[in-house]
Amino acid sequence: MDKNRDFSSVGIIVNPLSGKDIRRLVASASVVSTHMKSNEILKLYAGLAAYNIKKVYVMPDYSDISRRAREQYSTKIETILINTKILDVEETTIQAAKEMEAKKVGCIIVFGGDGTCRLVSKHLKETPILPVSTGTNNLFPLNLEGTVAGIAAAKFCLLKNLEKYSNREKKLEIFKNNELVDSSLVDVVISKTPYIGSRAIWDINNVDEIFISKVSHEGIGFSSIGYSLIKKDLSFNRGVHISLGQNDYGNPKKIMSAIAPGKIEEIEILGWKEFSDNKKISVKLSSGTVALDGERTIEFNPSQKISVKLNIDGPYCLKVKEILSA
Amino acid sequence: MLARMIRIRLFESALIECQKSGEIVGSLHTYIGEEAVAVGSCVALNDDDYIAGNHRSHGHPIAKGGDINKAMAEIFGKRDGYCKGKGGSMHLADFSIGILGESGIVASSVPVATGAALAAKLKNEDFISLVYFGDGASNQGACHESMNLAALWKLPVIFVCENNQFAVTTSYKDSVSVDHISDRASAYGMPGVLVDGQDALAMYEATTVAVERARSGEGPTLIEGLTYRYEDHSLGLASVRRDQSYRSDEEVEKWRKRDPIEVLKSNMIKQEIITQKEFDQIEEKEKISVEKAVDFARKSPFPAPEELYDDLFTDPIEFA
Repeated sequence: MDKNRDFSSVGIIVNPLSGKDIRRLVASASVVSTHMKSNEILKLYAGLAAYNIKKVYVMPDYSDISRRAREQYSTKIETILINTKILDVEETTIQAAKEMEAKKVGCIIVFGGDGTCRLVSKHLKETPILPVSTGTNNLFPLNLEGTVAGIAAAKFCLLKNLEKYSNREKKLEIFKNNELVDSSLVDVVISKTPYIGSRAIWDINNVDEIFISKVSHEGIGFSSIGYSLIKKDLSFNRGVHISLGQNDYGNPKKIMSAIAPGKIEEIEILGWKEFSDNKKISVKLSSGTVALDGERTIEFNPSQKISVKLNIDGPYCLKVKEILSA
Repeated sequence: MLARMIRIRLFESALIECQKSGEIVGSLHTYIGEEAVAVGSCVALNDDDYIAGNHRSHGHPIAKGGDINKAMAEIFGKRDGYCKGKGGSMHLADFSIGILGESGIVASSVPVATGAALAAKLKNEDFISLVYFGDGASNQGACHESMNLAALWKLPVIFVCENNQFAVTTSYKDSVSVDHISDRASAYGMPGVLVDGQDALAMYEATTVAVERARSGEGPTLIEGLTYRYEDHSLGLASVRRDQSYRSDEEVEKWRKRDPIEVLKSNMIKQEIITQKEFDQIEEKEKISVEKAVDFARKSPFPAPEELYDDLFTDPIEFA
């Protein structure tokens, strides 16, 4: 039991830009419209109101995605829009996550893809999240209908038991010259592309190495390569490290993998192995970019050595099945 | 890419000075702050691909590799300009490198570029077309009609919406029914993508994919480059210039901090592609070329009164 937590309140962070990037062009990813997100929030409020949540903190956005929900449920739920300095940029999400943690909300419901969940969880210490997918490649967030997400979040607040009804997820930490610079929840892709540009990664020929913390038989994106190789879920303290390309002996291992929606590639595997937590692995490439959960985020040059480590102290996530059956 | 962005910035800055000194008359719509959209997209095109612009289009022909002497002379209204000085700021055209021209009529170039793409399809040729239009133009009927036909006929055209966020002084948030203009693409049956318009490399990547789609017969693409106009809507329209209440100084300053030239420059320096010294050399070289363009324009004569009615019509047979 977390006695200091305000279990009568929750936080909501909706990434207004999720489901809109270049993967609509380079793959067959669908556009996730603002209207759809607004509808999900409306249903989320229904679930929250039904289980007695009285106060909701919401990250603001230009489109005012939460407006319909907060107006319709104004008599049951008090909505407080976090006062962020700017809207619709990463900094907005960071400010909102920090503010919600400071308010000690019962949990934060995050609507977005792997990248959104990464950004939010990076700035939380102990507030649990309920990640709901509105992104492109989504292994971390759940494909959960808004009403059910609302019920799960609200019931979690009634149960008031962080240890029993949440999991601690793992994360991959990225070091530049041994200094921790960022983290990722699902995958770290080392790309030969020398710039961040449009962020997404879609050309497998530019990928040199992949580090994965989480795989699933139904996963899509670079983590699906991991499942194609190990053909099972990873244990909690294990990740998988894959090198792409041909070896000196010819006959590289070739696998087919869905690296983006509608984009299935034949991938040549130079080698792969599982690794345990707390073991720092250096990347081979001397310059390029590091993509975190599908988005090029870090550039590096020959004077900057990049290494990756699996850490099991990732964010707390709600155990939806256990909560709903409690 | 960097040199062309600097060239546009310096070209526009020189125009502002010449307009203030009275050397240039009439209104000028400068492109400062939006350079990454034009340059990032134009470098993904071939010389024989077409572009069409709008009222804020000094940057587009420069990005396509146009002659800044001729562009400057045209804006000065001089005989050595692209249209012999009779078109002015909103009419820079050079068919030899695929610059179809521009127009002050909002959204009117969108069907022009769509028509060029139709020509490519009917002639079974490999060229494609790309049109630049603003957030205000995105609401015009001509824009919607063009997108519908282009998607229906799978025409090789790329629609680049330069969302600089204000149609004169009206925020797109108060005038566009969707949050992102790129969201509209799916309604026409084509892909749409929202791109950081301050990042030339992001624009280049998105355009490259759109070009591949167009050339391979997959049809049009809508790219929305989210960007920002630093200067007034136009120079020379006093009533518009004075009204700055539609945006705050803080907002302008925030966008200036993500200056497209600085974004590309810092990326290239970080990647050790250039040094600050080399950047300074590029800037100096461009400065000299723009100064020469101003000098060229100043020295060029005005068209003679008796030439007034020349060049109004082209010979359609010869043109074909």
